[in-house]
Amino acid sequence: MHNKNIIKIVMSLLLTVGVSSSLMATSFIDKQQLGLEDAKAQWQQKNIPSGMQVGNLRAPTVRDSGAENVAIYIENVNFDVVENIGFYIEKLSASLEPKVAGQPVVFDDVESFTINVHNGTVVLSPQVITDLFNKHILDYWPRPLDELTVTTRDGYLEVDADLKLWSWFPGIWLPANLGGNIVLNADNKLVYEIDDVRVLGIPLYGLLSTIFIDLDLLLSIDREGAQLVDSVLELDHTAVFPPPALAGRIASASLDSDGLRLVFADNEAAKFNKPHVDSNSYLWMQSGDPRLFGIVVVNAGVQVVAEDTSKPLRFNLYDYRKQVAAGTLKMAKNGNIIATVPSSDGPDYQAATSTASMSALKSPAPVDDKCINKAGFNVCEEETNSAVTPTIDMAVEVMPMSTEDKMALKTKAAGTCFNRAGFEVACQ
Amino acid sequence: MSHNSLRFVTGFLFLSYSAFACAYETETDIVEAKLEASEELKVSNYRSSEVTGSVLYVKNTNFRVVDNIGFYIPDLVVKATPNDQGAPVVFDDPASFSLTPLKGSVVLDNGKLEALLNKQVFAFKGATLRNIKVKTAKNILTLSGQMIRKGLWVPFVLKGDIKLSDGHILNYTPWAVIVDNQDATKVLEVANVAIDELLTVDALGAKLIGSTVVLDALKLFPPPVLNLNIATAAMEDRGLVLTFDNGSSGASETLTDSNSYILIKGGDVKFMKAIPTDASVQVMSDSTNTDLDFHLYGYRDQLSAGYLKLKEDGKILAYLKN
Repeated sequence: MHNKNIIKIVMSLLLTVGVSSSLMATSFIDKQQLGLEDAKAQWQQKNIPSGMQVGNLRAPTVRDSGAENVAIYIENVNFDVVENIGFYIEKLSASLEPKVAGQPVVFDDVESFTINVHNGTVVLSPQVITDLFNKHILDYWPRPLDELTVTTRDGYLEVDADLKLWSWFPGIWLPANLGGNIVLNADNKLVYEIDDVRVLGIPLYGLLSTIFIDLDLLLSIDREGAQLVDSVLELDHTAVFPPPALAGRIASASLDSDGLRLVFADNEAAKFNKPHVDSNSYLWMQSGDPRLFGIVVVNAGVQVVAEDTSKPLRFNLYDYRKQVAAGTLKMAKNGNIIATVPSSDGPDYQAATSTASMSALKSPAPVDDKCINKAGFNVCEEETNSAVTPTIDMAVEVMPMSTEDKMALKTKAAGTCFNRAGFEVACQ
Repeated sequence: MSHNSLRFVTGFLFLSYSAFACAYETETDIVEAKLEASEELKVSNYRSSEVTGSVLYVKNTNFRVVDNIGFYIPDLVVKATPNDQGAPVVFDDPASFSLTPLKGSVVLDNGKLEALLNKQVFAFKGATLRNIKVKTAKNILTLSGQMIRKGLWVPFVLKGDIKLSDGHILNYTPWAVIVDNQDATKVLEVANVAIDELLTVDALGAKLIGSTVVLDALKLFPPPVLNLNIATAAMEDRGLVLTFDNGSSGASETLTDSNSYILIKGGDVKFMKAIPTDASVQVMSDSTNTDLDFHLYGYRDQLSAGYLKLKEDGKILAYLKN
């Protein structure tokens, strides 16, 4: 009995020594693993904004956060889908939803996901609307309208364009002007209620109405999401833009000098955390798994900010690789990725026409913060540009008439002749 | 009625032509260009390359597993393999993958050997050796320090060479033993006393058997597991030099010019939350003209203090703070 106890004591001592030796020998890895557990708890923390996860989370794995979409918040960003087609985003909460459940959101495959807007406000500047029509909606042949130029003001959108009836008649482009308001219809489509049509400056809307000819008998627009019905142009925001498809109902649409302002309010409860870097212009992916380049970020925190903080970030979805490649990425220890990128190429509102001539005349001056309006457009460039334009008088001569003046033309007697700009001229 | 007839006739005449002339297009040029580019980037699995493991091409890098335990790597190709088939190589979890050197060499200099012996091998309570200092020269490894002898710490010096066996066993048989500043070599030899009769060395990866210290290179290092199949082991002035020749494909083209890097190719690796799939990642020091000093257990500190550059084709350049 006594011997047995001694053996037991010796055995336990040996065991203790063995275990402690072994533990000491692996203390580096033990310490490392403890630190890893803390880090993983942070990396795996779920930050899905309210209303952005409809079903249950999939079981998370080393490759999959389990979230069904990527929650993204964008503030004060010119977000181009492609070239200049996109939006100025004041504030926007959206979920990027892969079409195949369980997939990450693949930024390189713009047809593989949908942007579901939960709440926020975006503005389509006149230049954006112009480009949307010229480069996308009317990018087919033969087409009825060409070389559109859009201007906006409170409650009214005007289009200067070249026109061919039925896309071919009379074989040459005829200068035309359209005017009207944009409203939302019951199907949540944007309806351009055209109330002014002029060809060669000749007001035709009244005439067409008089003889009960709707515009859709003279023109047709063959683009998904854009349809001329009677004399109104219906634009379906979920289909008319280049992919990725948009989802989410528009709560209100209004026109002002900044452009077409769209407000979304499907899910006002979706709130985001503060992003990693304090900024007034950024994209912030807070949850879900985006795939950027070949990198899958599991349970993202990815923030994109501009190198030049003096004006809003211009982000180009189709060209994001080029943009990110020109910038720098940082990885924080909490797993967040911060991409600091140069703004993508693309004219800001008003700068489009001035950039080339301005650059020929002088090097660009630093942009004063006061020059950036609430929509992120450089309003000073217009003033500066007009100051150095030597052909201002000529410009006035050919400048189209204001809509008020054009409206007044409706009262002119039949047979009155007008030039292309809408001024009354002697009939020939 | 007349109005309707007028509408009908006018509309019919021209619509019939326009219907013929209009070719409906589903995509615009700008969208088509994007979709074409997307096609080249499509893969069957967006979360995984479906390749297990990555190959690391390491050049002129101080590769520390933890503290100063590790190797200086002049040139080495090494395979990183996750323990779980199909998992990425998770750099944050060294216990989740193994490293198999394929071709090239590594050097354990004096500092690294000291760190290995003091902080890993004999870093347990009850260790019989402490404060070990290492000196290396051609065919000579000199270990000095203190050994426990009858409850007292006694200074010692051992000198000898290393012989390799079985691809991972390093046998160190001292031909000079100095204890408490007295040369005991002759006495031990004449008295036919083996060193293990004076001293017990029994640690993970290190055992004193007779007069030979047997180091098992497979067990010496903290995780990740090193699957070492050493071709040669030699003591040189610069340290203990281990070479490997397990038939790898050799060098791979770097993503950017550099003389010191870890180039990770193929498979999937995970850094914190990010998984580069079909990886092409070149890790370098953020300071030019300095060799990369990579610390596996502390890489997050290095990465977060450094920065990344992405190339348009998706290749990643990681500049780490040394």
